[in-house]
Amino acid sequence: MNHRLTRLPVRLRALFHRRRVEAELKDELRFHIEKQIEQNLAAGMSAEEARRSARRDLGGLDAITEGCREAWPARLPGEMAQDVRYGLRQLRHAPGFAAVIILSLALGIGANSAVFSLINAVMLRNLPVKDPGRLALLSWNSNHRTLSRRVFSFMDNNGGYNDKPFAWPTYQTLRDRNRVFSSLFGFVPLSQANIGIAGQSSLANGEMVTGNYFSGLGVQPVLGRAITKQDERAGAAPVTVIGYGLWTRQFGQSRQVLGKAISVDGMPFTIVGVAPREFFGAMPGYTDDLWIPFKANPKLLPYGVPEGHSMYLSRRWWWLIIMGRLQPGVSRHQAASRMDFLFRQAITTGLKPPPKSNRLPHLQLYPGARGISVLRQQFSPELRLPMILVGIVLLIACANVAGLLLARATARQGEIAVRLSLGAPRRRLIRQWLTEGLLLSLAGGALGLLLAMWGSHALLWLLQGSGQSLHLDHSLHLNLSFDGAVLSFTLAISLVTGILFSILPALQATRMRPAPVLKGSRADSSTQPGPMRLGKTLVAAQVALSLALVTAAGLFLRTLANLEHQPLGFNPRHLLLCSINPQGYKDAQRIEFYGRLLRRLQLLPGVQAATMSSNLLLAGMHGSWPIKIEGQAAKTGKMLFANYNPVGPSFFHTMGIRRLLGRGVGWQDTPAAPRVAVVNQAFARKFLGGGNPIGHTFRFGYYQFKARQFSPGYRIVGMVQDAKYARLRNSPSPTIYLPYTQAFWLLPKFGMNFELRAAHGNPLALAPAVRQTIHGLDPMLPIAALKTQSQQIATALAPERAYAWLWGLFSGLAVLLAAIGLYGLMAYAVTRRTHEIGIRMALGAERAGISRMVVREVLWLAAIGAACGLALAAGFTRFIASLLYGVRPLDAATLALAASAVLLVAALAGWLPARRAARVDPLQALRYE
Amino acid sequence: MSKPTDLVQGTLDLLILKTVAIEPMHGWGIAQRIRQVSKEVLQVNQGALYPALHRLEQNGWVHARWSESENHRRAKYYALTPAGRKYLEREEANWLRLSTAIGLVIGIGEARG
Repeated sequence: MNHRLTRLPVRLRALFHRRRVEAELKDELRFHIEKQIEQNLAAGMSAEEARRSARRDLGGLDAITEGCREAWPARLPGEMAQDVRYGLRQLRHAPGFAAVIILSLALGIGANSAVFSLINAVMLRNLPVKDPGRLALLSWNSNHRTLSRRVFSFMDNNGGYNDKPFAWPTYQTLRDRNRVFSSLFGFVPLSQANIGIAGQSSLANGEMVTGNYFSGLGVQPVLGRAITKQDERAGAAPVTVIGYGLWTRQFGQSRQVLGKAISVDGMPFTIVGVAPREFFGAMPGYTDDLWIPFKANPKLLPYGVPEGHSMYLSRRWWWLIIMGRLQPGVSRHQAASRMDFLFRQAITTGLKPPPKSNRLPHLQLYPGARGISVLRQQFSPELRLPMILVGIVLLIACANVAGLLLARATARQGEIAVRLSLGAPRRRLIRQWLTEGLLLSLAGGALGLLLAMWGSHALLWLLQGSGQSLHLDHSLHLNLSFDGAVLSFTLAISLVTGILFSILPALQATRMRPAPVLKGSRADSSTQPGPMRLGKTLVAAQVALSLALVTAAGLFLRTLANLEHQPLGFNPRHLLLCSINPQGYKDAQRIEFYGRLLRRLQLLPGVQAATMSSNLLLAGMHGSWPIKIEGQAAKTGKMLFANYNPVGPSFFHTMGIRRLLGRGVGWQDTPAAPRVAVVNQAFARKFLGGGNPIGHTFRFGYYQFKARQFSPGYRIVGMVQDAKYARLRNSPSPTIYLPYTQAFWLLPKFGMNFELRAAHGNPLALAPAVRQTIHGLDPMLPIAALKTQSQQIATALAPERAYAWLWGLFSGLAVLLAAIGLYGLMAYAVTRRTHEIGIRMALGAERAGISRMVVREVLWLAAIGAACGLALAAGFTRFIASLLYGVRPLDAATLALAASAVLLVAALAGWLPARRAARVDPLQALRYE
Repeated sequence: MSKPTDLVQGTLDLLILKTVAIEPMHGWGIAQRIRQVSKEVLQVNQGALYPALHRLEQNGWVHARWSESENHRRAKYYALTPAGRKYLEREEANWLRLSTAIGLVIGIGEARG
């Protein structure tokens, strides 16, 4: 062993540096001749004679070279080329066989590449910036909510996120006093900003960034200049760099865009640059339309920062995300340990009394090369499951192809026997089979890549909906182009697949005694049980795996159907929705504006009823607040939590929510009127023991966002039927509907959603009139969502629909593959047993009996596979339990249905060979021998 | 004077290994040394020498290195590897047994004839 290792380098050298080795041989021989000439001259020969004698002694140089070549390891490329040529010839002889295999593999590999390209775009791709490997993301660890009330809940609401925000003064200290970063920059998202260009307004996502953001990332604008430190000074002219997408959408990529004015939430900015096309900021997947420097306008607040707080001075509001570029030669760990002291000093400055140091957080650094992906955290389960799914499909394809190759091996027994008996080593034959397998899998991979290019976009389209359901109210923007990673992945799985499916048939096919085969003895070949048994195992495995997938698909379909057909508690049909969020209004003005707009909308022709609400139904959002019901013995320290939705007049009428007791919210409920509220059945059931809620009074806690302060009392004046609120999956929980006019302290500065019920026809026909009405009141107001409630529900159901589709599609594919495998195996078995069948028939067996025999065998095989499949499904469906609704993972009906569907397909696949078996002509079959 | 004996393969390997066991040597030197040591009886077929050397190198019995020769030209020197030394010992033993056996057989033949 040791010896083999030591001689490896010299062998590899002879193998891969063949030219060098040959050149050295020439030098070696030249040295020999010169040496000989020297000796000959010394012996007194003439120069000419010495040379000739030396050449003669050595003999023909070519012969020597050839002799040495034999000593070197056989040239791999040469033999491989031979194998490849031979393999191609074999495949050309059986084009249908090759086509089926390549197609199976293309589907399996293509599905994997498509899913991987998505994962690559979301999770693996580096930011398109200079040297992304040197970027680090600043974070801190702490189990306690020490020191600050963190407001930046955008990302840190769940455990496991790496990005945590910092206070501005902390950033300043870290930036100015560290010695490990060549640049330390910060940013925050500015979402759903209202931007105005040449009198047209629209919504856009952006980032507020520090002056060194672009230089720190190393991003050069394609046009104009980047934001610089000068732009961050107080009193600097407000400038912005716009994204490539916005530039294309709004300016048609005009170079005249520089110097143009753009308003952001009503404040003027000047465009000074355009970011590169592939740059979406430090948060991939989150479209960045524009970047503006901090401090450009003190009134412009990033998401999550409450109004009235001095965000640049406060040490208590932590809101800034910081990234840095490490200095050359400094590792992330070195930098973190050196920054920690600085960080802890910065956060305790000015705090009295100084907090205990063991409760202070520590600074941490994470790799920043891939930026911060909101999607990465939210998408991963959505992407992991499809990856498992397509992995199983590929496994089935492998088993299928292995089965086909095995059948083919029998057809090629003669060829193999000849080669073996001519002295070809078994190793060489196995290599030949592997080469053929790799040819097939590479062809399948190439075709699969083409499928994946199309498939990845289809997949993104399917998954888009699940993004929306996860509060991503922005469109997904991913770079799905196929880079080296996707190509390498495809190549790698093609190679692995090729080896996987050809190794078993290769071992099986070459394990034979050539003599009987060459003698043409059929009996011998059919008494070798190996290939059949292996083939049967493979087919049973395919049936088992595909049954597991079909079961999962069935469960997802049931989930979708359950969600779609459940009672909602309101009527979603003929409803048009739209959202606005006017800026620069005071609360009173806002209330008045919304009221005025609603009155106009109610009067529009074709509108049966119209209302408004703070939250749309089934849009994934709901408000929840602690309350205290008057007169109830307050259990100490325990607050009741209720959902709330501030609504406008005729909300219940418009939405079709049945009123059970009392009245709804009406125009009489002005800000000055007595505070009232309407509750649902769940409220009465859970909080009032099922009693009549009317007349009860409750108070909200945390009034004006202050702890231990309660709002004035709201008197319950009505009760309505339970209705779905935020999500289709949530069962109705206690909900308070209160007049929007009396709830503004709960939602400062927030927008409003309007719901209109069309008298007849498609509610979208009302859209132009609605738009006109809104712009009649405020021409600059952007309108966010003009869609129907049915569309809203479809969006909410998108992930479920995506799952049902994906799993349905791929499990169908899996069953198809299994059926092909079953058919191939049985067709082969029938061919092999033609002789036996002929004898049975000659002895009086009926044709029907013969087909029954074959079908019975198929069903046995399928039943064994299905039994294993059920066990597999039982284990497997546990992993998707959390995604199901209204159906248990081990739903008997679904399992039974899936099993019978798979068995039916299996019976069909077996029926064709059975028919052929029944048609065997006994005379011919016997003569064949 | 009789014609120099051609060497059968295997024997040549043994001779080469034995020669480079003394000190690293280039191809021409090996041929010279074998001739000198065998008192001009064994004439190495130079056409067979180099394939044999390369085979030994590929098998890991000898190790080749380019270095400066006595006349300041670069030459490929072959040296025995540890694995080659073991192999040589084994082959020497084999050879001894074989030649003894042949000697015995031939000796008996002479006695009879």
